[in-house]
Amino acid sequence: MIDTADMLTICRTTYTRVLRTKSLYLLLASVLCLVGAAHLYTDLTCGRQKELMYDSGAALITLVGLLSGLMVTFDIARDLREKVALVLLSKPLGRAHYLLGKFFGVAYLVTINIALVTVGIMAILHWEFGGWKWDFLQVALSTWGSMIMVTALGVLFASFLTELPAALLTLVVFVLGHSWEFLARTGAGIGKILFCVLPNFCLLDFKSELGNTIGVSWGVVLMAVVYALVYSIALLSLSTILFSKRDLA
Amino acid sequence: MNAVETQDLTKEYVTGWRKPVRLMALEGLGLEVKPGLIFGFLGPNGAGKSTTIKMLLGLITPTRGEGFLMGKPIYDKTARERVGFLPEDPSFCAYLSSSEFLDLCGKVFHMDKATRRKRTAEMLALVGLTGKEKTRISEFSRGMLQRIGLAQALMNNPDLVVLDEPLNGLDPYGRKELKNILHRLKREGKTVFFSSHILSDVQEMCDEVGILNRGRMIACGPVKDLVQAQSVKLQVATLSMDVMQKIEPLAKAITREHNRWSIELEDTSKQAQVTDLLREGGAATVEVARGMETLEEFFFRQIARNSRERGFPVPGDEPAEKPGEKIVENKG
Repeated sequence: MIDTADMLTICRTTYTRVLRTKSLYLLLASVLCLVGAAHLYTDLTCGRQKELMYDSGAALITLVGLLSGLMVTFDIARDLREKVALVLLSKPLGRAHYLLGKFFGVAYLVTINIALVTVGIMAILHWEFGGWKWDFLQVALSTWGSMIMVTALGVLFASFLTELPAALLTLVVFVLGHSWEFLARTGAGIGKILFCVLPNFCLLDFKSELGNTIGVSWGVVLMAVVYALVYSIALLSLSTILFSKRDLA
Repeated sequence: MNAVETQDLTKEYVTGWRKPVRLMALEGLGLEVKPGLIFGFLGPNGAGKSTTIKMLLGLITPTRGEGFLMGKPIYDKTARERVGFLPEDPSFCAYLSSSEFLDLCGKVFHMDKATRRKRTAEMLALVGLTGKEKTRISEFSRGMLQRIGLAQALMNNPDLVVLDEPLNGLDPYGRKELKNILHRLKREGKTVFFSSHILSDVQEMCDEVGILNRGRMIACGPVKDLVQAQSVKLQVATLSMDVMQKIEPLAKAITREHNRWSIELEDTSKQAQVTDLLREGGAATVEVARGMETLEEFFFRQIARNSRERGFPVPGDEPAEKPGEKIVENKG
């Protein structure tokens, strides 16, 4: 039985903690500067300005989301190292609540950061092209789905590894997840296994279509996001099982 | 109902992939700690004290055996509702202020806001941190960290307080204050279970102690029953040469001190015989003084005996272990 009060307590504390990370503000400020400078692309893109702006916008959202999502690996490891986890888990707090609280705290940060950057990009697009480009929201939403999966992957690896291996493995899976179609073509062996197990980040990548003004229906985008959420739930379930068996020495 | 109870509690680690090495951290621990006592959990480094404490609190899964806290099995998280815990060398949530951290602990115990606020103020006053409510924990000294650690352990007004090396990092004043707090908890009927290397403090504070050596409990019981009367000193006003000659082979030393004869015996076994000889010789005993063994002496004696019996080097007699070197129990 999941006690939402316990989970929310950990979620709020995690959010407070990651919010106090100074490097995050530096990153956000840099990204917002890049977004602000996006209208300079006019002179550089030889007529393909919109495609490039969608591309770079999606890249910026991915960068912010990825770095925010990866914070979960460092946060859990730090809690264990500083014995905060020992103190909290020696109280009547379930390990699953702790881990899910961590996930939701960082997922909330990912959501806020992606929303902030999206608003900035949407404003620039509005300024450059006139009128609101609502289809960019599809890029933002699908990227958000990817980053929720990244956060869940981070939780999974942090549940049994220390911070650096956990963060590196998360990045490796993120990269391999974008090579899903390549893995699908490798008929047998480890490629086939990875194809069956790894998350398919290609499913959530619509920036090329939208940048080239190829319409994507909201239904497809939402289905891709549902895939990301279901996959994340599976990852979190596995994480709670692994973490419940871990000796917290 | 015991405050802490374990039956055959065992933890074995298996390390290494290619050639797995078995490491016995704790072996068949049977322990009963009655409520309302201060129980000292002793042992050299690597004896298994912290492993036991972490198993009791559900942080480490036992390989076999079971444990109970206030009658509830250790795997049941509700068992920890009435328990407070201070880990060894904690650093806590450095980004929170002391009051925010205690508030977080209160939330985990599902306390309402008013209760949390009240308990936070009470706990900060108890550990001498009033006025530091807004200070970030990252700015705390080692001693202050121990104090805030104790405050969080007592936040839920627990019936059982488990402290892992609570005296570490405290100056003499801090140690005195901590001892006062532990005595106060005892007066309130609470059970204190703590590990420490400072044996003089343990002897002073604890009702009962348990001593672990290389994963095995080698002595357990009330302190006064464990430490032995080591020597006996009889003082008599007069002592004839005849009686002195009879007593001499039985005594460790016979000396003259301030118009009194002092007869020192190695232990109590010969006390009755010497007393009879004195009585027969007409020498009245003025005073009998017993030299008690300290807990530290008892501890060293037990560890040395147990180590020799099990074929391990006696700590202190061996070259210092390299940092990180693991003690491996040979399981045959």
